[in-house]
Amino acid sequence: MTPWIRGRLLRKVLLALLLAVGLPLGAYSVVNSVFVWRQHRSTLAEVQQLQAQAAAQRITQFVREIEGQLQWATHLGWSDDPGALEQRRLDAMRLLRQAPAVTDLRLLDGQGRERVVVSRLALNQVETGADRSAEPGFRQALAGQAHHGPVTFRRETEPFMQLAVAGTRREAGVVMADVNLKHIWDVVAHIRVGQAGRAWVVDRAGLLIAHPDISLVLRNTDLSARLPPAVRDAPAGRALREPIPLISPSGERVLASWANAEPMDWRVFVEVPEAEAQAPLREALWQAGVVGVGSLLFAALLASGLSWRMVRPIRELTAGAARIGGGQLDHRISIHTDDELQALGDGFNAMAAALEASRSGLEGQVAQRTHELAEANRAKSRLLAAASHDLRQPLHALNLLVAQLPLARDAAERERLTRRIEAAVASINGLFDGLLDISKLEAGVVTAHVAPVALQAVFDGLVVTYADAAQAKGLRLRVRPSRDWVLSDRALLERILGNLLANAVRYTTRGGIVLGARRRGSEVRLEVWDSGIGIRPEVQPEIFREFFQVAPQGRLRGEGLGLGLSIVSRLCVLLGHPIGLASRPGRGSCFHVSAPWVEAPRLGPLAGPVPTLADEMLHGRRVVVIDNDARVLESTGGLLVAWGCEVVTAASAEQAVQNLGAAVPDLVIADLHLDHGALGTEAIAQLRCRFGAALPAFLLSGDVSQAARDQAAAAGLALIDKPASPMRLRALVTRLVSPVDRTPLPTANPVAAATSSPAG
Amino acid sequence: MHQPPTRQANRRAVLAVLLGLGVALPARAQPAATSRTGRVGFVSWFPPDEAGQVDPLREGLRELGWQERRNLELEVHFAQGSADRTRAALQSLLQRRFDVIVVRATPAAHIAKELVRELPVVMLVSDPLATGLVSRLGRPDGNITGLSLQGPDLAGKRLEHLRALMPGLRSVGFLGAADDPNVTTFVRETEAAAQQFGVSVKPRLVSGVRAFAETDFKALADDGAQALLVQPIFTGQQDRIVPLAMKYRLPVISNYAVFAKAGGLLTLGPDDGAITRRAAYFVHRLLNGAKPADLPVEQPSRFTLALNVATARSLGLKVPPALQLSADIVYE
Repeated sequence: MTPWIRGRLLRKVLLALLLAVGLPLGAYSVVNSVFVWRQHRSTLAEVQQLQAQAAAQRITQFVREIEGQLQWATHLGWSDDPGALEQRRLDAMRLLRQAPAVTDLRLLDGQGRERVVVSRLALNQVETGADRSAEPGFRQALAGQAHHGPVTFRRETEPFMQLAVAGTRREAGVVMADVNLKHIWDVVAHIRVGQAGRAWVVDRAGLLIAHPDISLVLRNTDLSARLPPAVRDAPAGRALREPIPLISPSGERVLASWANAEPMDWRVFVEVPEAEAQAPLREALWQAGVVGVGSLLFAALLASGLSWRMVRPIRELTAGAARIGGGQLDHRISIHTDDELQALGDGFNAMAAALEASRSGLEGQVAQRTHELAEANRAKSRLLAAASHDLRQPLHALNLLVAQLPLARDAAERERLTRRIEAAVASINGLFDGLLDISKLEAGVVTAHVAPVALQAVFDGLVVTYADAAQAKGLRLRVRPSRDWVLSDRALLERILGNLLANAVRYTTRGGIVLGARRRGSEVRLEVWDSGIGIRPEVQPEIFREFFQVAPQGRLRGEGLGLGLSIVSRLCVLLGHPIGLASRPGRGSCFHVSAPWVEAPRLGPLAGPVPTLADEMLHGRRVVVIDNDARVLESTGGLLVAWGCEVVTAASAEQAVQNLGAAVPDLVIADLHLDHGALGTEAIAQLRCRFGAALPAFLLSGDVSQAARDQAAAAGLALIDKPASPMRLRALVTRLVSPVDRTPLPTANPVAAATSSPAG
Repeated sequence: MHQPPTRQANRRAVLAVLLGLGVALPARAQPAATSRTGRVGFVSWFPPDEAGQVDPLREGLRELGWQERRNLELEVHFAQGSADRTRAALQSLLQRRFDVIVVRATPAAHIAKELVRELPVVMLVSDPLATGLVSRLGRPDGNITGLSLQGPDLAGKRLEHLRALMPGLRSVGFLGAADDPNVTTFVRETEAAAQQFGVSVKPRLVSGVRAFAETDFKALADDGAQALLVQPIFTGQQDRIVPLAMKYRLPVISNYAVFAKAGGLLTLGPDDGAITRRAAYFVHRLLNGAKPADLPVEQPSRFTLALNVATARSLGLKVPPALQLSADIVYE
């Protein structure tokens, strides 16, 4: 497991959880913040509006109060009485004391003439005679309306307004007052909106006339450029609903609402710094951010925890799988998560256990096989040793006998020597036949031709074969007659029983041998009893292997190579006949073979071919022998001549043609492998071609391979293995040259054809 | 849960931190209170016995959050009419890098204007416009601002009140200090008003507020002066001036009520204490970084008329009802 892969899983889980948490949370926060902001703004607008209206009302009231006081000074009419004038002067001075905002006061009569002037700074005067009837203040006041003059700044600093009020009667005249608007400061200074919100007043032209920071007023701040046109041009008495963003007189960014101060048409603003106004929004966003970040952190923790809890067992699994895959089958994965991953780990463990068990089984098998191979190797070594010994003995005897033969003086002596030579040759042949049979069985070229077989016929043949041998050792060979038929291959069955009988004879020194059959249900059990040396139980499984010999070295040796029982067991396997053994050392043995029982066929008893007189059959037959080995040519040719045949020998097809001349042969015997890669099959074909006839022919070969058999079968020719016994040769030659058998030979069972000699 | 205990503990700690964040973060700290100490120098042209002239400033500053021995260092100098002392005091303050300098009275303000180039100066003077301390009230140029006491503006008004008491007034003396630049304005304003009433003004200028003698009063009385207008720069000298003037039957008229209290006839002027208290506002703004040019020179809008009825009675003067009506303070 690379960190990258782990990281990817973590990223996926993380992303999924973050999205699952972050998206709804983010959406909620945004919506919530928007709602909070909107609600706050509308609340702010309402509060500001109310405060602006209240402030405007108080300013209006401030002016109205002064108007009321001025009105009071116009109760009396005008007369030329100096006492009355003095009274008016005193009234004016009293008024000045009562209205601190008023700095100068002028009392005009009905014609607009200035009668009394009182001032806080300037000199008081009476009857100045100035005519102010043309001034707008006088005219408007007379028209019944209080006059509110434009705001002016005295000495370029203090805001002043002229106020003019007329008395109830026209002759009472008009009072004109200069009002120092600095005094409105008292009104606006105490208005607080939120923490830093303030109220301030501008006149119709946009000049600041009241502000909590009086310095701004005294500096004659002109706000007309800062006010939006909508505010500047709004008709009297109409105010905007929404707070408007402004640069305040003190230069801050603010949200402000305003109201009209009647009747001067001043605008009273109530401002809140934007920062403060947006504080709830920021607060909401901040809280949303904190909650969001917290939740995301929590989600991240959760995701890493979750993915870690997933990744850890997966890592464990991967590492475990890698170790198991690397051959460490005893490794077990340890996951305790109580979930599917644990089940997976348990599955891995079960798999590893099964693998381990299977491997240890395999190892056992390999050990067993190795042991078997070593054993087979040892057996082969034994074979070589035995074969060389067993072959050398008769060969040695043969050499000696052959050497004696020319020296034999009389016929009896020659006769004796000839018999001994024949016996030695038979021994050698027997040895080779056994070896050949084993190799044929191993090569798989033996096939069974299963048919109903009459047991009695088999028994009879066997008795004839082995009676002499048994008698020679002083043993009794008894056969219990049987009427049963079995389903088997007669030739192979004969071979099985023959080998068993041969063994029985070989290993029995006294007593007797019994051959019998007993029916058991659907099977027939064929039994060979002897009273021989018996077989120890521990070696009983071994006896069916090649080259195994029961007898200890030295004793009873020289009679075989230990191939008999091996051949028996292989034939039994081939036929499907179970073989068994019951034996007690020193008391004897009983081999038994089971074959399926069948009913006797309806047809008559099997009739063997009527034997003909071979010598007659063979007499004068022209036989061509082709072999590249001169000795084989000589021995085979000699034998055929002895049988009365006319023999032509050749080393090749060409030589045969040449040697034959025009004479048509009756039989062709060819070696399979000739010189220069030529084949016997080709030589036979050449001769057949030369003479234009399907000449009878067969092949001889020392090559027991399947390829050789295939080649022979392809040419439709019988193949006789070297060395072939004279009997077998004669039987085949006789059959082939007989007039009834002039058709190509069916492929004969080679093993059946080789049963004539006792098994080795 | 197959976690080792340490990891569990870690997890709990993380949870606790998260919860703590959620609780603690929304409640943010308030801005810290001003811990910086404001150093303010006060230089008065007047003598130290007028200590009351500093108290309103101290009170005003305390109301605005500046308190001595906490965040305010207020150093007071009384020049007692001496330009040299004023200069020395100002230089000492400058050397020690005070934050704001408050000067009282026009001569001191002029010396400050000359000496102090960068430090903000708050002045308490009679008429900054007329004496050229500033060129405009609304937007003072330079590093000096403060309050106008409108002393000369009221010259005519004082004469008007005096005439109401002494309808037969024909000649009035004027005691002025030559080292006060206001003196010109005072004399001019007084003469302008006097002309309207047909009254002649006899100015008597001395070199400094302490440089007067009995001879000055005697000379004025001999010259036919019926009353004496005293320039407010002589505030602090009232206990010497009033008896000397009364010795020659010269009722004293001035700006500040201390003269009336000391036996002067009448005074008319702004509320001195209120104006000094207002100076605290300027100091506060300047300590907080405002520029002097952004603070317009303020003018008083209320004036106090003080009347000493005992003095009037001793002189055989009748107080008319209009004056009685206007008087804010009446000393019996």
